[in-house]
Amino acid sequence: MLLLMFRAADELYAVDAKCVVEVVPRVALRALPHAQGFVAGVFPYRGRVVPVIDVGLMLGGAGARPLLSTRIIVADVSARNQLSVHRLGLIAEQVSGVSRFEQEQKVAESMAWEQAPYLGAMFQAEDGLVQVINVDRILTDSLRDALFGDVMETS
Amino acid sequence: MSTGLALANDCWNRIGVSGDRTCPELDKFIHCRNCPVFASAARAFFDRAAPADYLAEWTAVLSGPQESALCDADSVSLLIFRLHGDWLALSTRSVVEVTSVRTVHRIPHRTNAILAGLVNLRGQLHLCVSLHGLLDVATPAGPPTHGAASRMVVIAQNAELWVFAADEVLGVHRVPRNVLRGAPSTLANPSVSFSQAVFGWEGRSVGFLDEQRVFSGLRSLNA
Repeated sequence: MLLLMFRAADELYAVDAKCVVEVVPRVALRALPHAQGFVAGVFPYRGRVVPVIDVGLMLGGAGARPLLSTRIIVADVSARNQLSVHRLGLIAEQVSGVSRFEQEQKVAESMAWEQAPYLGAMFQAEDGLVQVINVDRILTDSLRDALFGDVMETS
Repeated sequence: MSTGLALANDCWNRIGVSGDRTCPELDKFIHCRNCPVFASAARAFFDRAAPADYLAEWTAVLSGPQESALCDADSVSLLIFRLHGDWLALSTRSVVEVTSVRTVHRIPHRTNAILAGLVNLRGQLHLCVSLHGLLDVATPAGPPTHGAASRMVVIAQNAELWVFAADEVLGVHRVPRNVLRGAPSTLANPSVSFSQAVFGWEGRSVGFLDEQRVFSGLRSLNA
């Protein structure tokens, strides 16, 4: 599978390249008052408003530093009804590139616990272990409803 | 401009292509740009503070509509090829593939100026036609020469396949609609005009074939 690799909370993580729409530079985010800490804010993206999640904060580490290598991964996440998709931004450091991984490089199956259902399989990369983040499981149902409401979006 | 970044190991300036070229890895990578050391240094280069107007600039760019050169409605995608001295183009959607030249097997009593015979494409026999004959492109005397630039072009419409030999294929190009000019009637074949437009391409005058007329011309062969 093709993975887009990045660094968050000082470790290597990756998302499936299939769900990635675009990797864009950091932008000025509009804050969402009273939102959970890891919801960094929203930004206007090609005619729609996309919420952005700080992957580092979500994982319980430090937030993404304001560097040139910190970028926003715009990804498609499936909506609650599974029919349409929402667009979600993930801000992460050193979004460096895509790498192909074979099943043989998988060193651990999905290890997701209740607090972090998005944590997926682990792969052995050249510079360390990479854990896949399942973008469809990042948002809890209540957070998904809060961010996207009843607006039906189609890609 | 100072990057504010102390490069601990700028080996490409010392022993690499910008230095004295003594790096042993150069045998393997040929150029520093293929080397993982250079790649990781390039990545580290971006681990620095962004310029002052970076955020505002990108916020403005991304809030606008997507600029896409690929889905331009005002251009057509064409396969440009040559039959002897004539440059012609066909709409890409009717082209299936371009392949190497194969042997054309004549069909006894059926082969004529337009129907050249049968060709074997991955085990399937397809009709090979001569667009030279159909479009009445002057054929030089003597046996047909298959130069290195010759290709077989496979075209299809409604699951019907034909193969024809082109003397050269320039590839698929996107041509803006506004450069297409109506085909002058004097240039066209007196009996039937197969061209719907003419356009200039890199100094050549290319005839844009009307695929409907070409296919109906080919279909009349089977009748």
